[in-house]
Amino acid sequence: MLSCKEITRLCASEDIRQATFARRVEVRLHLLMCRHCRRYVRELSAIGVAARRAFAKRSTHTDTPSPLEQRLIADIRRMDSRDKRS
Amino acid sequence: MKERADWTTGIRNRDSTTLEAVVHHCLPGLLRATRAAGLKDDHAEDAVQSAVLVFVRRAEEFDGRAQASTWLHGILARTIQEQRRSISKDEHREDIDDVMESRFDMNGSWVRPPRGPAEHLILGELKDAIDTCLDGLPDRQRQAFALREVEGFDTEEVCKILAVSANNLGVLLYRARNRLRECLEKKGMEGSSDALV
Repeated sequence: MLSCKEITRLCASEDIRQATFARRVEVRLHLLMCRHCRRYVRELSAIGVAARRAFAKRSTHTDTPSPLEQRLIADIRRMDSRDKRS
Repeated sequence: MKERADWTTGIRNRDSTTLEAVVHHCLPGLLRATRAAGLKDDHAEDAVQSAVLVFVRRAEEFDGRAQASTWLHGILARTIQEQRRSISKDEHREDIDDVMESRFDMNGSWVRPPRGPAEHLILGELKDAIDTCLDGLPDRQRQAFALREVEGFDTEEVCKILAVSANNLGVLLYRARNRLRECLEKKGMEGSSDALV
């Protein structure tokens, strides 16, 4: 039997992905029976979603290249023409 | 996010049209990963710019075995580590492993079960707290968490980008997630009453 502590380690590290089928079933069963671990796992996934949302809104593709992209393109072209000259 | 297979030759030949396409394709993700790793504003843009320039300079070495974005993120990860080292402050942090240890009894059962805020609060009222909590993470843990959760790279790719073993990544993610969870739990309790419990 897996303890709660082992469940938290397997889930938070994602080592569960490399675990055997039997072990994964054991984790599922434990989560069905244990509300504390269920809550723990739900909190972890909410944290992932919150982090994704926090950073998603700050960077999206736009039609016009950003100033940074324009700088980079200028750099690339400069390096390119230097190569061709040499 | 699929990449074009015919990019490999273009990148190796340092064809500027291809390089510009790669930059255009990868830029939003690179910036997002940099900010999620804790660099702000100009620091973030500087890191991305210097990583892209390293990528262009070393383009001939690209062998197409990894995706271009994985390679770029790998270069960026090292740039971020250098930048953060130069601007980071010395912070005292409690050891998350001890904190976790204290939550279980000898049999590994919860003695202090999770009391974090409910999901709708983590995603609602407390969503700004995640920024503050992320700032409390050590650099490597924060980078691992950002690449995995914010950028959505699979664990194998994160290992390549950060040049760590699968075991090592597991430890980084375990600590990052538990630190964040503990931090949000504290914020939730400060925030208010029994409604959160």
